[in-house]
Amino acid sequence: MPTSNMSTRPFRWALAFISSSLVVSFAAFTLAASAARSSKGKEEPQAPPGHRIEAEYSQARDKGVYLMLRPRTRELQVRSRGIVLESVALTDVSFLRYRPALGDAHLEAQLPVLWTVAQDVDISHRKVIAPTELRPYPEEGQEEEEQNTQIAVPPDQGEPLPTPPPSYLIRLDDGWQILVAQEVPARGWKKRILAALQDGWNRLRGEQIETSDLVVLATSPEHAQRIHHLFRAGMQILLDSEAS
Amino acid sequence: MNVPLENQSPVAIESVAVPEIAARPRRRVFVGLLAVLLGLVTAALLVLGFIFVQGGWYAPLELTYPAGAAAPAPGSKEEKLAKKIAAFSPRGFYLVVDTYGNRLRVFKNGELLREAVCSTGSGTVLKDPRTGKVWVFDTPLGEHEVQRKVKNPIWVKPDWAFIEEGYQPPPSGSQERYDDFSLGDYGLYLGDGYIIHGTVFQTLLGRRVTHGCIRLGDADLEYVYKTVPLGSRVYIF
Repeated sequence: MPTSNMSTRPFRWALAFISSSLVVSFAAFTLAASAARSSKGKEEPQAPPGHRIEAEYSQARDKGVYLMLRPRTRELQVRSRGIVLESVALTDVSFLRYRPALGDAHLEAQLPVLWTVAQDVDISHRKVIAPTELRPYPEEGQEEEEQNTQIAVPPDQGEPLPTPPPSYLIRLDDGWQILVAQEVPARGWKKRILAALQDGWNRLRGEQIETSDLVVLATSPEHAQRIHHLFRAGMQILLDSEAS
Repeated sequence: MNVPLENQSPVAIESVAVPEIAARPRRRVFVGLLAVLLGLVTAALLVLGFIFVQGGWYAPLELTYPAGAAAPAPGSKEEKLAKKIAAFSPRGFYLVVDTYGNRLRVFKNGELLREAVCSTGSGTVLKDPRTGKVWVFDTPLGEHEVQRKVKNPIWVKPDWAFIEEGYQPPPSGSQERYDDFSLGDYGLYLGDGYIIHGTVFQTLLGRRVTHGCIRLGDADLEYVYKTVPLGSRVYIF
């Protein structure tokens, strides 16, 4: 009998330790989930007031191009002077807010009628020609000696430009950001848990993480690349939530 | 039949006792390993839980839309504004240029008449080593207007055309600056040096290779030149 007690004691201790740990873990997860649920009800943003047409009027007076996001019909229109120049089909339009796993999410958001792009898209892919020195332009006779062909294609001609990325983030003027991607992030509880773990890990490593509200435009890689150049600094984006 | 233990042979006692003695250490090892394994799993779960509570995720916000706001009421301010916006839109012929897809479309009163493959700005950046001046070869977005139409246009080459090839720009007005073949047969001038013109590089049509101008193939250029009147609007996006 004493031999038998010695063999099961560590097992019981381990079992007790594991059980209590699991209970603590489960409680933490439940708390996190309930915090997220309780904050969800408080944070329903207000739809933009009916000033979309006023905002468009002020845009259409100008010669520039502007964008109109229509969440209901899932399209992003390129417009100028009130006419639609191009319409890009989106597979999803989502307005997302960062929610901490534990604790309160920040509250009181209201969607604006008009956003302005506050940053230029990444132009690091642009080719730069920077000659170190310039030669004197050759005289007519010298030029013919230098290049025998009548039509010389400059070396940069014909090289296709690097393709824009299929997924990118655009900073807007009022703290919102636009994420152009192929799918909405953290959709479904499994992906949310993974996202929280990744986010928590990044925070523990001391990374600075932006938690701006997000407008996610989910679309195909081709469409994402096609609209990439439009998100340049100063581009105006109207939100037409009334469109049906 | 019961046989007293002391009467059993030593061989018989050994054969009964051996399996029990061997099982004890095995069970101990198993329990120990199980405890270690479960301890590790628990520790991992605790660490994951700790990481989890540090993080967060993006959750969707449901939007509410004002009901019945799509159509402005007759005589309302919104309706007047909608009419004003409609008044901005072009009438007659206009062009729409897609700089990513490299397509030029000719419209008349909203109806598409022709779509042509074109070439637009490469987006390349050029730096002048002498002054540090920078040129960006983008086709400018927005509304423009056909200001001039010229047959057999002559290109007066700006400084960047020489600097790009590594040459010092010749003095303005010098013969080297005049080029009478690069722009093709027709030119539609949009202002600020931007032109819709032809090209000797026909194989590069459909690609972003220009210095900001819009290049067309010969047949499309002739059509545009002959169809689109002066003052027509050109929308570039």
